[in-house]
Order: sequence, then C-alpha cells, then structure tokens
Amino acid sequence: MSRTVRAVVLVIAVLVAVVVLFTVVFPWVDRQFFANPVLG
Amino acid sequence: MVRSAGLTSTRTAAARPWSARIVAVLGWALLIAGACILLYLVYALLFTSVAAERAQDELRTQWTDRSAPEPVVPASEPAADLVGEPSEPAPQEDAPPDSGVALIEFSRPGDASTIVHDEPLVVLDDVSVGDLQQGPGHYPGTALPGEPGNFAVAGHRTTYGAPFFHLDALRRGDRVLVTDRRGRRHTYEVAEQRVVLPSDTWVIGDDPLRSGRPTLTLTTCNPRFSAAERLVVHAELQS
Repeated sequence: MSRTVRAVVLVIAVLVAVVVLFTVVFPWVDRQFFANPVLG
Repeated sequence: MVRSAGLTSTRTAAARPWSARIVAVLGWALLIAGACILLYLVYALLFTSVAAERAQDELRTQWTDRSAPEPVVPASEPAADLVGEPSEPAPQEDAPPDSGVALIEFSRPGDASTIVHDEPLVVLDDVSVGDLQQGPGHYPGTALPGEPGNFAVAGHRTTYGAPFFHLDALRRGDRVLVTDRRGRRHTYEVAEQRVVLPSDTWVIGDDPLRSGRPTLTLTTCNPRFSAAERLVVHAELQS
C-alpha cells in the first residue's frame, strides 16, 4: 500500500470515528451520565 | 533505501521486549482517550449549543410568523369576544408538528433583568432525544398551557443550548409567562423548587402541589453536568 493510499485510508477512518463519536457515542454518554432532564 | 529502512524498522519492532510494547500500546491508548475527552468537551460545550441555538432561533421565527396575525389575549378572555362574533376557538393541536406547543418566558416582579434564559423559549411537542436537542420539551400526556392539570416541561441544564442552566435561580413568586398555540398568555407563579430522583415521576402527575389548581412543572438535570438527580420547579396558574 502506497503512502498516499495509507494516508487517505487513515483520514477516512478518523473522520468516520469522529462522526460515530458525535452522533452515537457522545449523545449516549451524555444521556446516561451528564445531561438527562427527563423523569422516568 | 526505503525498503531497507522499513526492514530495519520491522526488525526493531519485532525485537522490542514485551514491556516496551505494553508501554507503547498504553501510550497510544492514553493519547486516544485524551483525544476523545477533548472531542467530548468540544461536543458538549460548543457543538450541541450551536445546533440548539440555531434550532431555537428557527422555532422562534416560525412561532412569530404563525402567531403574528392573531391578537395576544389574556387567558381569561375568550378569543371570540375580541372579534365580536361567535366562532369556535381553534384547537391547540392545529400547529404543525415540531413547531412547538408553547413559548415560555421568565420574569421577576420588580426586576427588569432577565432570569433563567435571555430569550423566550419555544417548547417542543415531546421529550424525545431529538426534541430536547432543539429546546425544552412537553411531557406527552400532561396538560397543555392553561388547561386543568399539570403542564410539564423538561429542558437541558447543560449542553444543547442549556435552556434551563439557571433554573435554580427561580424563587417563590417569580413569574413564568406561557403563550399557547392560540396566542393566549398564561401567567404561572413559582411556588416550589425541589430536587428529586429520576424515578420520581409523581412530580409530573396531575396535581403535584395538591392545590387543585392548574400547575406548570419544569424539570432539568441536577447537579449541573450530572444526570444523577432532577431539579424540579412547580408554578401555579394565576391568570
């Protein structure tokens, strides 16, 4: 695998990880531990 | 040249002792954990607030556009009296979904400064995750503004614009002005503030103050940056 391809794959992987963190992981962590205003 | 360097590097890595490898893995794990914590702070303190404030701005604009042609009347006067001809009042459910069930503002008699939140807050139809990301939400199944029963509203205290960040500033006698979908304004007076467990759903029941009067209940997380408890403010309908 050439350096360029490796760099592109790495950037895409990081971007996917950030999107998953911001849309799935962080909202869940937020609701569970830090910010849930709803009763019940 | 490059190949030989690569081979040398591979051999060096293979020749590393286990302790060095463990330290390297631990170092990377700590770096990634640190990056995740930084990203979470960006998410919690910046990203969610920008998105929520934009959503509230849009909702306020929609609310203003929708209610502009209708006169704002006190809750005690039927809307038909103003135009002088009998007509059926429009049901509060007329508004399109996601446009809000009410607009709430906070004030303190004899004090011109704003409390709780600088801008009026549009209350959304539900307390789903998506709704609360845009602003306070109305607990489904509870009363609507001005109706008998308990108009219960939840809002974030931190993140997502933190509409109820200063909810603890409300004191007995403060006013919560609620405008419903028909443009009627209802004034609630703060009666009580308490901290309860997340499972204490009785506070959003029909008559949590046992006064027999229409009630407004606001809930948010407590303490700030924790979902361990809920801060609850009860207010009673005055007019």
